[in-house]
Amino acid sequence: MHDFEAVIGLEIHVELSTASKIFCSCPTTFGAEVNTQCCPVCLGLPGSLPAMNRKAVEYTVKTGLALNCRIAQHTWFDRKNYFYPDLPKAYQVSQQDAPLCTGGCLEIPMGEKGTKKVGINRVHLEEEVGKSLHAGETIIDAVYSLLDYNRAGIPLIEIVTEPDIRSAEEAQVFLESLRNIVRYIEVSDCKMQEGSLRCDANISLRPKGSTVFGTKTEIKNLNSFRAVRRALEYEIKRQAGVLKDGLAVEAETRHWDEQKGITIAMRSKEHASYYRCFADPNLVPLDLAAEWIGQMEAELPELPGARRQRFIDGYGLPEYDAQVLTSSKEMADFFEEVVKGYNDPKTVSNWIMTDILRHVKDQDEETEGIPLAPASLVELLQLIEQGTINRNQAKEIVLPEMFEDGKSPRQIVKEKGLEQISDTSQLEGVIASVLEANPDVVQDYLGGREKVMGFLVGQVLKETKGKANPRLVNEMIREKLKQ
Amino acid sequence: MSVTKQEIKRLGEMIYLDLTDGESVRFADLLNLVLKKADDLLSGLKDKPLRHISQLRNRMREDGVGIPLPKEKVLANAAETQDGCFRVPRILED
Repeated sequence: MHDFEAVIGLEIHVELSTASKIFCSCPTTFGAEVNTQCCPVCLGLPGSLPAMNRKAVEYTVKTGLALNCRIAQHTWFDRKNYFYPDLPKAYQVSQQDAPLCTGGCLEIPMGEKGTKKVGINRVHLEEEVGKSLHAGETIIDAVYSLLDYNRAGIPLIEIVTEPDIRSAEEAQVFLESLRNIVRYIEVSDCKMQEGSLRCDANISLRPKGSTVFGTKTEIKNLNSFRAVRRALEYEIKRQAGVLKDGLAVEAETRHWDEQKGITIAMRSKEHASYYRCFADPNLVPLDLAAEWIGQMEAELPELPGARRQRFIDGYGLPEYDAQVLTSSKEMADFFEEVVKGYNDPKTVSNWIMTDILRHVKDQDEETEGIPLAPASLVELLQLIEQGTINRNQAKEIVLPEMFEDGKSPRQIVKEKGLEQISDTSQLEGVIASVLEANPDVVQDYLGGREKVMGFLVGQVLKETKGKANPRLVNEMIREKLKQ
Repeated sequence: MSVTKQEIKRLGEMIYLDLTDGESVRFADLLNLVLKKADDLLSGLKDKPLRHISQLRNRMREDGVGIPLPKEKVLANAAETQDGCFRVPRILED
């Protein structure tokens, strides 16, 4: 990719975690039996009237505020008309012309390159559509489709970025940062595997240095962050190939095939879709008073950026540690809980960033947080500090068991008989025999080669099957050789 | 506001009417006459055109869960059902 620059914009849909739907009191529980969370309003039966859920509006505004958007003082809801069976009303209530939030930005971490601002074009509120199950390999092959309207009418926000993203990696980092913020403000659980966060990507290429946009394609069916990254990497290569051959990129919607690792043309986008939008006469417009917006702003929790700075200033952590720890709310909460019980922030940070994250990474990327109680890490660290077990035992034996069985560190230490030997009378005999068996090494030490101490301690550990307290052994050998 | 021959052609495509160039020009001219009338009317108005019929604002409900319809009632008017779902004919793209 020496000749072209990728220009990427994302459209992200996030289901809001309200208890009831946007216009009716039907529950929004995921995984309920099909068509059991429906009523005349969300089924679009004649004569039914929608009533806006206040929390859906508040969650949208809070998202906008967290993304540094301007909040509209006056807004309304449009009917976006299109004929498709996942919409029982044959229109979707959306905000084509008057989005609640516009003109924001999100600063994303770019490693050594610092940070990058990605513009947010809009955040608007709309209703989720029903779920279609197509009887066939693809929608085109299907002979019929089955519709479940449990999902229809769940409040949904659409977040549209400016075309500021320049690589597949940046797109992934942006999505991770966005998900983090949305989870921090607790307006959605953002579970991609349950469809509560979905992403479409628009991508075009242009010669490096050019300011003119190329023809873009839209990629759909991106069901994980990994899929977003892989699909964009593929599409960048594909479009570059087309352009290098002197051909034109077709304006089209493309489907990401996860198994084959390719994008496939779905339909042409030669003409922009026309939805015949007009203001929904059944939903009254909203005037958002400055006091109400101010109240919602005051209710926002500490956001990742502010928390990162507090971790640096308050706990004295390096910037890198603070960045990693605040990259998810669950992890930052876990860190703070552990520090309450074991007041050595850097040690706690080291444990989380290395050993704990290594175990967490083995899980699915969607798994939330750390599946350990903060109190159990506190207990583990105390066991090391008290000399009951050494660090190696803690890392190699106790921690994996904690993840696997959920047992307490003390219980694991007891069951496995890992208590260190800290009784000098038990160690004296072993030390004496190790020194006797290694006269040359002893002479080296006495001759000034301090380094051989490690070997001698190691021999004692070997004899005691790793149970001897290494610090105590070290002290005892030194004492013995002084005599 | 006015429309072009190309816009009329596109409008025709959307409703599956294959318009000739001559027809597109003729319909554009006719529609532009109507649009001109509308412009004349609007230019005489002191206030902005009404976007929404209701003068009410901010009518919202609290986020409370109620009881949904029983599944049998949900599906009662379905032409066809299968596995508790509405069964619909194959979905065709344009």
